[in-house]
Amino acid sequence: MIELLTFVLAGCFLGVITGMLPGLHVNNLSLILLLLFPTMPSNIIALIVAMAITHSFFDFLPSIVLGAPDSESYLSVLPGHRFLLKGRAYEALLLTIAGGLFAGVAAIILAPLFVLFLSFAKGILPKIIPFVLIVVLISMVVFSRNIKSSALVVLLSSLLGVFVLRSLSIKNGLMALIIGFFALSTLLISIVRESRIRKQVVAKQAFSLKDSVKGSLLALAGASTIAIMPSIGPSQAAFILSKIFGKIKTQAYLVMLGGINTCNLIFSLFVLYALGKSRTGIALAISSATITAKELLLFCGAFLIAIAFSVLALKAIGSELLKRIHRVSYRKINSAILCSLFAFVFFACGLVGLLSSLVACFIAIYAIANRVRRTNCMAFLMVPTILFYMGL
Amino acid sequence: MLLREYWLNRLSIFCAVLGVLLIGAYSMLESPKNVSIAEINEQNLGEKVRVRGIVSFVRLNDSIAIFGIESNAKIKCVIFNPGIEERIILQKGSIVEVIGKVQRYKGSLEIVVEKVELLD
Repeated sequence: MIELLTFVLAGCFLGVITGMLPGLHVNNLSLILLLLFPTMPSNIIALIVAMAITHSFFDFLPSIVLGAPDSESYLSVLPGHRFLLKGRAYEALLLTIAGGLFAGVAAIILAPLFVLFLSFAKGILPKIIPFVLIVVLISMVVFSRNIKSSALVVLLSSLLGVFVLRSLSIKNGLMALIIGFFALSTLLISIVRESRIRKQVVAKQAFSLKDSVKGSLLALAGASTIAIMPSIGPSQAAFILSKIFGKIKTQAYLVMLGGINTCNLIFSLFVLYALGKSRTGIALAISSATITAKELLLFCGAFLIAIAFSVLALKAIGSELLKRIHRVSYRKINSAILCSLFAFVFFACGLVGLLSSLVACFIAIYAIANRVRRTNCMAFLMVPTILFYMGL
Repeated sequence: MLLREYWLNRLSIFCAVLGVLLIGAYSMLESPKNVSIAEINEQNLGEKVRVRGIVSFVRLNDSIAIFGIESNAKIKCVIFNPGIEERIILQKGSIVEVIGKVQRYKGSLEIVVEKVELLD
């Protein structure tokens, strides 16, 4: 038991590292561990599970803190960045933590029901989702403030997505585009506009129970969507839900974002046990082991310990980081991160991948400059998904 | 209604305690079952067992060690990526204790070894 707990804690520490370093992902480490331990002993399973859960909490820290734009582009940034601009990044972080905690615990309790639901839904939902996505795509343009620019952004993003993800065989093409649309563009704009981070308020917080519950339920719905439809990821599911359920308060949206990936990981291991299918990288790595009902105890134990560790550690590390962030030269940090991302995309995706990433970046900058929501760039993933589900 | 930050701490501590209890329960269930080689059958598939026997053959390469042990019956055992200690222990005629999971491979039951010890 002590050995298992040690491996769980080791997994938690690894998850902190993978979560805080952009570009290093828990899936890559899991596959390396699979190569080293092909039979997946229970210690390594516990380590991988704990690492993945901790990663799902900690990866919000760099995404909230990195690439903060200035007040002119306030309306077109992601919610975490808006809070950073207002000096409320700690509140944003706590909301994502609350999402991971509440939704994660709910996912563990509801997982058996979810597996039952999956058996019924997996035949029906993939047939209706393409039409839902088409409606969402059209509404993104029609309800935009700047219809012409919005349509152009959607068109260019769609073409780029279809070209990169379906036509060209670019290694890690999806990652290149996500980095281009959402990381490179934000960093470039921050550097050009000389963004400064105001002093962050790091104090005891309180948030609405209603927003927490709503966000957690949406996270569960999003994770269920991902589990049913293989080509939809956490960001895409969060985006679709925000369009389906209409206006969601920013606080509830952050709780949802915080919970969706954690729930997806939890559901994926229950799906592995019940249906033998791997929906995530860690499930794929663990699938080489014999998974019986006993292993569910191990999974749940590791989930709960990792969730507890992540909540306490992320609050501590996040608060210390955010107390000091306003003192550093944000331009220098962003420049360093931009250079390292260029290098990372080049090595991971090749020259064509880097060029695709740059094209995505310029499309996103056009969107920001024309007051178009950057979520419209999600067309790069939605259109290939629609085509996939329609069999085209 | 407002949720105060300290509730996150309290719920986390509760989760941690529950998690430790679940890991403890798993450890108890996962303790290897002492069996003789002749007793190993289909019902043991996926179970962790502890068996003793004499090494009847060994086939070693860089990434895998396949060996047979026998006492009142025979069974094949497999170690992936064997270390130096395992290579030294696995000699024909050695009396060993093997802990591992029972699995089926190409129609036969075998043990995927997690630990092997030399017995005097």
